[in-house]
Amino acid sequence: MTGPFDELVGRLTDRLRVDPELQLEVAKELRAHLEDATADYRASGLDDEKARAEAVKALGDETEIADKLWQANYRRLRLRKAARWAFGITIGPAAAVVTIAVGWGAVASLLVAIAAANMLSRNGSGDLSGVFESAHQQILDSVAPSARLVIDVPNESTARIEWAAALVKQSSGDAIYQANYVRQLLTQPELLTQPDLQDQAGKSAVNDHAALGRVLEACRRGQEIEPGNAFYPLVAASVLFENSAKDLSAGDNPRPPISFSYAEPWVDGPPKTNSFDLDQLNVTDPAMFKQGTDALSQAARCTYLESHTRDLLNRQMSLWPPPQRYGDALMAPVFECTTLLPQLNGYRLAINWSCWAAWQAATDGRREEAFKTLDDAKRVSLLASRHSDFLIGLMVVSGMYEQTLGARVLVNDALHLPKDADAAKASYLDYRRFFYSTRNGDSDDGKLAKLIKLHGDCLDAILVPAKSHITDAMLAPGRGAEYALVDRLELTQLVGLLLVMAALKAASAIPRRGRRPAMMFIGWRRLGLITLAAIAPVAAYAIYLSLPTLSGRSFSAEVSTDRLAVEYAAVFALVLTIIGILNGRALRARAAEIGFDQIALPRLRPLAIITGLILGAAVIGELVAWHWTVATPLQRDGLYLPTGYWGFALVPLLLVFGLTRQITKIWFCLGMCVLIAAAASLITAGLSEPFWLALVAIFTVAVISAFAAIGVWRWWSGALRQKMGQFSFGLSSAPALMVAALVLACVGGPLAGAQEKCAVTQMSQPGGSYDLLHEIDYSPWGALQKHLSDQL
Amino acid sequence: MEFSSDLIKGSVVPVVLVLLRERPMYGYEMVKQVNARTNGKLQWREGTLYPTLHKLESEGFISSRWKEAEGGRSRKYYAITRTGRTELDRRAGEWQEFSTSLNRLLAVTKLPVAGGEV
Repeated sequence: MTGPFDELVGRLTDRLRVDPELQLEVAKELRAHLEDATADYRASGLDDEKARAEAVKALGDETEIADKLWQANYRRLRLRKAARWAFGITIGPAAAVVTIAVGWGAVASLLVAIAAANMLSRNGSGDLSGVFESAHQQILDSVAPSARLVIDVPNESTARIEWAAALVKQSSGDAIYQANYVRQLLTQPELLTQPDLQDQAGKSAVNDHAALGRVLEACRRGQEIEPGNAFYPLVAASVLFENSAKDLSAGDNPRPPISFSYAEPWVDGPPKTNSFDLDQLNVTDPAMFKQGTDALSQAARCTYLESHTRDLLNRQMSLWPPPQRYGDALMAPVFECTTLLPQLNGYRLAINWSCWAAWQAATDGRREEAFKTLDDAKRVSLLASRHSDFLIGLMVVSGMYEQTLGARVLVNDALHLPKDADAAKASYLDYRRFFYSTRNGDSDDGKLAKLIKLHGDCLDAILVPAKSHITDAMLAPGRGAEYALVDRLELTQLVGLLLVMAALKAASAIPRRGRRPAMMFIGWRRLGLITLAAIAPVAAYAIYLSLPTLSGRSFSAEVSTDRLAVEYAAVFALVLTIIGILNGRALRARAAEIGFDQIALPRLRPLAIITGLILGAAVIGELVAWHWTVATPLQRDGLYLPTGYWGFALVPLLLVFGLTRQITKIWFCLGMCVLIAAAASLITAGLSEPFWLALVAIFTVAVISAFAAIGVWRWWSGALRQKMGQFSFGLSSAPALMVAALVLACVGGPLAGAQEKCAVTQMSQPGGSYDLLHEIDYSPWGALQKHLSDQL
Repeated sequence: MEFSSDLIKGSVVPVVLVLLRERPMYGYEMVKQVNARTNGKLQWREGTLYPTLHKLESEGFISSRWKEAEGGRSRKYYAITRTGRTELDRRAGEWQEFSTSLNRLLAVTKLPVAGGEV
């Protein structure tokens, strides 16, 4: 303060010092009045000194004015203090609470999704632990205790057998639970070879008589409950075969299979010769092997084959709470896989080994026994097809039937019946052609083939990695839920970042060295404008997301990780930059109003604008590179996404840009560096040259990380320097940051949540892509099943 | 004739509201307007205007906004609010009734004035 009336005005407003902003404003108003009055007196002919004296005299008694100013503003002072206090204790905590709520929901959903994907990726035998287990447990806790036993399917094989046994014990005589118990017993690696379990690959069953006795006893009990069901003797046959013979196609010295070759001219693509293979066995326990063939005969004499998988699944799903989140929706296929798959392996093995037994009988000249065994195997396959519960099951059963047709060719060859062998081969090829045309038929755009692929993916992992059909529209509901989940997580991060910024701003206004914090209220209108402008990038991004081709959201989130990180960082940087610029302007305007226009606030320099443009160009380059990469099948299928390296390197730079907006020449050079990296990435994306790309990426990451650290430090120290005179104005930015955070959390969180719920509802629709069971109603599926049933 | 300080003091609020009903003004501008319209008979102690303005603002009768005046200098302009207009109407009615009653009383009393009786 250096004006001629400063001392007088200082005395007049001294009692208002508890509110520095108000004091400054009143002081400026009085000063302006005195200056106007002085100017008028001067214009009337008085000299400067007399004019000033007259102006002061006209103002009135100094003490009286000071008192009246205090009295007149007392109520306002209290109100402003209360409003500031209320704002501070409500907006920030409210934003924090909403953020935690949004974030917590998203994290919980993510954990369940990961748990489900983990279980799916191991065909239902995944190992859940820690947070995933607790997330899974949350769902179970929402179910009534009486229902929990039915749906609380353990992940580990032994525990699942105990679970199945407990169900049988609880409801003795229940055919559904008894069949489930038998199915779960089949998952024991010592009992059956488990080609689907990675750690059991290549291992054969060992003769564990205790395990064998348990499954045979369970089958006997099952036959008591359902005497006409072929399921139990078929399972018994599979374990008896498996434990009495050794597969010679595996091991250190594999024996080549017995085979015949054939051509399939109806298959698209270049002609090639295929072969039918029948693996050879070494029977180690002939008596037990004989029991196996007897059990198969017994199965063939039954009137139906029912594994009750569908019944159990329907029972479980009726107890499962309606899905609310992505993870919940994924749990349904998990159930389906854990319930549907176990017996299929046993089915397949029983038919394989019985076919070999038929061929062996033919080789030994036991013609009648050979054909009877084959007929039994065929009938059992057809019985199984009639009661197949879902698409994958039908595929397996179809393969079993096809195996019996192929084995018949070999049996006739072994019996030296060439005409019969030719007829059998014709039947075999007829079925192959029928199956191919049904599977890949043009009648419905090959939907059945897509379904088969899709279900294969569901079994591998629902979060499908880059594969040729990953943009398949049938996955759309799941993709929507997946991205809604990611969006919620990122929104939480953005809001959290804004709140941390607000806290830092508030902390920087803590009184230091005699300086008092002064919170300038920039006005509701300015605050509203800043909030709207800060939300604008998020809204614009939401519009961009609604264009799947551009946003790439038809691809899985796993494939899009690098692109998403850059996009989110760009949005974050834009939000922070906009808040920074507009809040700075508002502060300057307010500072000028209250006569404090010398306040030092950062201003954007032309170089900063140029660097911003370069960063924008780099972001666009990243997006172009990503689209180019995923459009290249070789790189896509190999999960090679070179844009990721420098894309991630761009993230800290963008964030620091948003945080500081203080771009120097160094930052300009750094922006150029990123641009060069982008160009290199684009080139290497085309050349598939990871080595050079890795070098560029490592260099870029190292340089950017170093400068990012320097930038953050400079920003922090700069924030502390934002003080003028006796006041500190750091707190002034906090309201805009807090309000923007609150609005974003309150609007964006529920929107993303609703999007996830909507997608989850679509995923859960009967007959949807994620519904493995209801494909039974699909026409080609029905045609295949009918074809097999007609053979009975 | 100069008015007594009590009369002037009591008239500040309605005068301010009347002035602001015409258009937004800043403090010194109001002082000049009053002087000009009353030929200097209503001499405010200028410093007391601001507490009144601040009080009226905190009561919601007027609002303020910083704006550049002629010559590029920044001035705090006050404008009357809807509540302020209602308050002005109320005060005008009150004053009308008061002055009518007072005039009636003064007519009965026939106060002596310079140069004869009223």
